[in-house]
Amino acid sequence: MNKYQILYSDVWLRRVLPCALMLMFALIAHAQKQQKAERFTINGYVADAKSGERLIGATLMDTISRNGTVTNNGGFYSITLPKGEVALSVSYVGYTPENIKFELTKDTLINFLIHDNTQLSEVTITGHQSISGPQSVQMSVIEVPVQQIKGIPALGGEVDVLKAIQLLPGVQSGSEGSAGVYVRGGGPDENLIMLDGVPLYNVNHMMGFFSVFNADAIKNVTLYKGNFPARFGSRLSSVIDVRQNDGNAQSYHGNVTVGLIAAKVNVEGPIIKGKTTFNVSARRTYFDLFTAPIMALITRNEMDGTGSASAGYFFYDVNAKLTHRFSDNDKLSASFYMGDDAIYVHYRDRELSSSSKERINVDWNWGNILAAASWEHRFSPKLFSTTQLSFTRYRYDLTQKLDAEYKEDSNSPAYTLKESLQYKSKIMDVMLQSNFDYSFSPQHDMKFGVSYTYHNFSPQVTSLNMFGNDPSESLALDTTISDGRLNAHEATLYFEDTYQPVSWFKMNLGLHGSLYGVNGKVYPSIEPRIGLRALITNDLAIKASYAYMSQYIHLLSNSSVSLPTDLWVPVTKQIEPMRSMQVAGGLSYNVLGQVELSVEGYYKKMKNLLEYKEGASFLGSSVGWEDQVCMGDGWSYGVEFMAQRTIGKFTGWLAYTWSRTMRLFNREGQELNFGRPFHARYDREHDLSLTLQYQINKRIDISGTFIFSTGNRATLSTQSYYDDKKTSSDGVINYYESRNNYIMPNYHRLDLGANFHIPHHKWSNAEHVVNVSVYNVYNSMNPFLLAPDTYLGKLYKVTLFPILPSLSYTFKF
Amino acid sequence: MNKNIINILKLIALISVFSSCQTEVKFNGIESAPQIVINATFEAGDTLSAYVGRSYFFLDKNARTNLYSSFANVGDRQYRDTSNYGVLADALVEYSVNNGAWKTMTIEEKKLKTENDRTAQVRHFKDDYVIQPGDRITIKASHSGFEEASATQSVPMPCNYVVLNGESEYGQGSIEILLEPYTYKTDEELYLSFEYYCYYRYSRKGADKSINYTTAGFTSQNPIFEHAANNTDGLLNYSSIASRYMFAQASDIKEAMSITFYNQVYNPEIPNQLNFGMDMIYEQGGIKLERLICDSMVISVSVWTADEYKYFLTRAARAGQYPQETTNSSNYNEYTAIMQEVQSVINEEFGNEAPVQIYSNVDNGFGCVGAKAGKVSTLRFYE
Repeated sequence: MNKYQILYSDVWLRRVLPCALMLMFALIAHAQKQQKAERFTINGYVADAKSGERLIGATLMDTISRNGTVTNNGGFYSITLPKGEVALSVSYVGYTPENIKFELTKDTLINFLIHDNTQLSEVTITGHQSISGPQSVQMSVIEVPVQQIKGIPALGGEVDVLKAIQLLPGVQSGSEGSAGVYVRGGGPDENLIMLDGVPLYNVNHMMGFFSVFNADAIKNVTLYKGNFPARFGSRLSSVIDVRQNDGNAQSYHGNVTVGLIAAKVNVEGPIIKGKTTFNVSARRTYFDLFTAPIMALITRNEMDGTGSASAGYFFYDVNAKLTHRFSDNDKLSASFYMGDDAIYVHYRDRELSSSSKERINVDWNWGNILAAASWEHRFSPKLFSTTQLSFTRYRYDLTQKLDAEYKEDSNSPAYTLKESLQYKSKIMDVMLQSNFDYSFSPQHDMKFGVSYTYHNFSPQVTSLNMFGNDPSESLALDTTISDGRLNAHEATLYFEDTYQPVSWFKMNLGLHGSLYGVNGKVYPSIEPRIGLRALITNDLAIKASYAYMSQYIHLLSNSSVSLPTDLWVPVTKQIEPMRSMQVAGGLSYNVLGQVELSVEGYYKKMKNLLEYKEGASFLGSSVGWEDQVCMGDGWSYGVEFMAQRTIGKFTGWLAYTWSRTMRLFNREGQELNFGRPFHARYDREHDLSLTLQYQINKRIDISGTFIFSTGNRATLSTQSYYDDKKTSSDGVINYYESRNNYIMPNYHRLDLGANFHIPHHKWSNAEHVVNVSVYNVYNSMNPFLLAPDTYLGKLYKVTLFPILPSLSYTFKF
Repeated sequence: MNKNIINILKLIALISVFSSCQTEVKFNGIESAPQIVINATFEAGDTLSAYVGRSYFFLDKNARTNLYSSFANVGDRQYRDTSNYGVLADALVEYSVNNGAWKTMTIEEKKLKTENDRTAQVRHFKDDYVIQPGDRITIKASHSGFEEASATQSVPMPCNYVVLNGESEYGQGSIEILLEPYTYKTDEELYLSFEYYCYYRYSRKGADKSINYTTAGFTSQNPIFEHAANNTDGLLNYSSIASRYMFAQASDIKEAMSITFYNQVYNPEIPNQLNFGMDMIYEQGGIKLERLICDSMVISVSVWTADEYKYFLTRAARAGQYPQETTNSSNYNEYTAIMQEVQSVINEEFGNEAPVQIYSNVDNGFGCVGAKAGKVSTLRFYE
């Protein structure tokens, strides 16, 4: 066996799985014994007192029994406690905690309406327990308040959810300015990024410099970067769970923003007060509205009025959500997202002497569309379900059209030619899923569910049409060339139990099973998930976790930026699913209820990773793509530290990661780097980020972000020589000793921003907000890429974004 | 206050405008030492010839002067000056055949060649020894300031085939060749090169019926596409096959017909399905068959040309065997194909994305020493 061969997780599966199952049955038996004590269930919803918006991840804790729970994605909680005195404390990031004491004598429904404390003038000390804090069994999870995301200074002033996530420990950005997310050594396709529980395949606008998430439409963002609970699957590295606002149930609100890059609008309110709500957001960039006409004008002058050319780029997206609450037992909601990027080039030319004319249009569109209908139902105080039918699609479509009329001279007959070339790709999912929350007993909080997904891949379709009436040659061509549609079926089943046998010890045991069928081949996967937490004191916990994951789709991409031509393809008979195994351990400490500190170490193995073979062409290569890729393995390990403060006037976090990520492609015929291990492109030893926000007064808040990281890796040749076998013109070969052999200069940047809130002179609920932000304040020339100049014998770094100030104006009502 | 803010914004805008986006950075890696380069292809029937030169650190300013193309004017004509290109003209270059005595190779006279002669070879070290099939040849080169470099390669046995049929008419023709039975290994690679545009189909009729199939494809691009469109052969007709590559040049839509078809493997057991396999690699006008070679394989090649060419050449050549611990770039033919891709890949990838790593089988040096043995047939059109 090769010395670099990774001994893999079958051993883990064989050993860990039976142990986990046995432990689970033992715990259930133990719990049944305990049922003899009389107990009752408290359940209900936690919502914002002003808007009625139900809050996800709010914590409820009985301070007497030390039992606790968190609200689910519907804002619902259920906690079963022994009969007697109960002291419930409810807390949520940015909200004033509520405390309630009462005698529990029967099943009780309590809906908590808690108050936003962000506008308080004094520092408020609260005892919020986050979903990642010492009281929670979950580790490697971070919840970022949307309010904090909105406060972070952003590139071009365009607030970005994924850019905020890049500032968290264990998460790395790709190239300068890009929204790519690399979690604990995984690739960007290894992240399950969901909007209202539905996967989005392309989360980038503008080649990855912005993400598709419009912060105005977002209620909650949670990142799981390891130890996925069993309810999540299908990806190796992370889950980014983004939830949209339901909309204000009491009154109409909205905002209109005009920035340097985009304009956006958000409106929300009740259709039936307290019952039916809507929330609609839209944004669009508008550079092209100015540049295209100007370009047409300039080219018209240059072409002496015989033609013109215009070109432009824009993106837009629309988010919408409609919710109806029938009662406390039933809620129906519909979510919708649509977003597109578009590049267009339009060219017109006319020859004066012969009256020949040509019209060429190139249009390139790509984007997502997502729709989901969800039904939340409370069967009983203990049992809550969410059933969702959803549809998600990503497609790109490149069309080139020529419409021409040629003449020898103005009197001769015209020869017309019409050509059209279309190049398309698509991935579409239809998914039906049901998820259940069951508060079985004070010790057991269970979740289970089932889902089925129909995947439809059309990786590449090319159509060519050509019609001409040249008298000397008849021309008629109408053909479509495609590798056909590919259908895949995925079924999953999961069960997880958060078990707290004693107040200081809690565990989350889960199993995620899946079947993936494609082209007559079925891949099964059974994935155990284990999370353990032991309280040392009420504010200090030690945690450990284990997770095994499988992934059945791959993103074919060989570029450092997100291109629309990146292709999603499924596993096949030859290309096996990617697998990963991750173990992690750490400490979580809550300092006086104000700052949460965490230290985590992890080790992650990855198997069946894909990379393009050397020299493979990626454009239009979906047919026969299996021959253009090679499979290999990888591993990553590191230590992460985070200190986060989410309450009061002074908030923010400090994050530091030390990590190492390696790749090994040594399978026969699929070697990269001559079959030797090599550093991943984004293997950066040190990553540090400091994000601070301070509310000076009700009128002004300021923020700043500082980032320092070891440079990305690049491949530089070591020697050049002449090769007379080479058929290209100069015959000079650059010899690369190994992949990613060079570390670019360190990356560091400071961004600053300020919001000025000016109350509207007539409407008390309205205000003007002016945002001033500066990206890269001290104009650090960070390397985007390295460019050797062999003429001068010098090495240059190319910087993408020097200092970039921006300004935006928002009217809120 | 407001005025100050405006002044600050003005200052920031000015700084932004004047910020340079490309700045020099110091190379902080290890500067590797230059090495000797040996490039040679030992072909049965030819005499010995090898390029021996030197490499340069990639930021060495002399690299550009000494490695890249240079031209010289003699009178009013321009010639390609082949005297440079990193050649170590005073190196000691020796060879040994089948572990025999070492013999010294001598360098060619300095030659100026015409600019248009793209095949103009730079100065080689040569010897009159005629390479024989089965020879095991070691070549070594030494020069002061460099470590001695060496490479060994075995010359394969000849590639034999029989021309079964040859038909031709004006502008097109076909040839059918039979690979000599029981002389090829199933994992062996065979290289077929054709002088002009052609499409082909070949049948594999081995002892094992389960692996019988027919493959059709095209070796080059337009105008083959148009010609194939009217072909009655189901496999060749473009409307019934899929393509691996199809993309028109955006710069000139009238060139939209420039379409390259790649190979499809037709399996008669699954008649409605085309399977795709990397069974061959294309070079200009050539096909490399790999993994699919079998005894008694019949290869049919059809050629079409709109030009005035009157003949084409079929050349079958076996690639030399290379060490097994190599990467996927290890094979000689693949190596040359990859060379053509290097520049485009680097351009597409902003200069820093995974480049192609070049295989070298030269100890203590760079370069590639290969070997082959081939046979050439000529089919004349309109004979």
